[in-house]
Amino acid sequence: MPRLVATLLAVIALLCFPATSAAVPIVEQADADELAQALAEATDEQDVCYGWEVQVQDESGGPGGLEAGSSQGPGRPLDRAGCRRYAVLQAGVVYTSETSESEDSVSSFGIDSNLPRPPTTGQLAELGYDERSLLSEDDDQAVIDMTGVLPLLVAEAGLAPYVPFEAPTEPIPPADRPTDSPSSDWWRAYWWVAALGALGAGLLVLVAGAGVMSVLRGRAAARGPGSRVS
Amino acid sequence: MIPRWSSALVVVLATVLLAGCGLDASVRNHVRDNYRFEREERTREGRSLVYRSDQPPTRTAAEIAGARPPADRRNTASGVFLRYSKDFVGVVPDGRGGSRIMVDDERRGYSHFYPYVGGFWGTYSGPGESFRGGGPGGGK
Repeated sequence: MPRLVATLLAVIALLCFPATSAAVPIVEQADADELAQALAEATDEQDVCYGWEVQVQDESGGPGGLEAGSSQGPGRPLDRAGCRRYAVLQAGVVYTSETSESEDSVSSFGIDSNLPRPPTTGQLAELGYDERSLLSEDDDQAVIDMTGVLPLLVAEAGLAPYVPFEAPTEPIPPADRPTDSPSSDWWRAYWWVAALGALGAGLLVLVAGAGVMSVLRGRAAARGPGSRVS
Repeated sequence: MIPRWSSALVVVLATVLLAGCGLDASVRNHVRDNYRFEREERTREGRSLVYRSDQPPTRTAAEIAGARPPADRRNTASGVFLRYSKDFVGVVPDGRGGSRIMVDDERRGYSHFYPYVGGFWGTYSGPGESFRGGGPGGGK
């Protein structure tokens, strides 16, 4: 009986509080602080304001609303009135519950700007990010990178000076080191060769199997009626 | 009977696999073969090779990433950084409309590009970032 009650409670909890497919907020506070700081420094160099605004709609009832930050501060949507020139990553994301038949989606995606030749989503796609990135496990990285690279794209368009690359002047803390060694470079570049090989090998196995069956059938037929291929 | 063309298939398969094993996936070699070598920098962390491209950083990085897909990437205001199994590549503005391409081994690359990749591609125990706003001296 207690087990039945526990199961019922678990089912009710699942129905009332279904798990959502994405974490909110998308960008953690520490990352938002760092991104806003980088944008503020870019604004100092370029006299162009930057920001990100992601409208999150969670149909399962989870936290939603506007997730934003800018060169004016983390958590602060860009006040356009205070900026002569600006570029802001804008997106709308709709999360559905895991029990829903419809899938998470992006309702809007673009760059709001008053620049004469603003950065485009096509340029972001060349850098490896598009609207589908906002639905991936690395959605935080997508928002950080798509927003963070806006000053570089503005500079490349000749609208502002570059934000200079600055290598560290002092050794990094000894404990800090790269982690999670990536997989083979060959595999990423030429996975299709391995796929082709596997396909060919599979075909060979099929052909060999068909050949063996053909030989066995021939022998069975030679033995006369009533014999079977085992 | 096993069809005669199956022996031809074996030959084709072996050729594809042998050719595939010989394909060059090294980002170092790709950059060396396609961009102008400028200089080599040696520091206590290792060796860094510097090349130049006439194309701006995002286009140069997209070309390199298209030819040699990276395991990870960082797009920042100051450049694009690509991570490979043993190499880090940084593509930054050269101040003349083109790009400076820096090819580092993993350890040196992490130190060299630390302000941009620290905490993303490895451990980070630098100063915690809190928003200080812009203004003079607001650098990292």
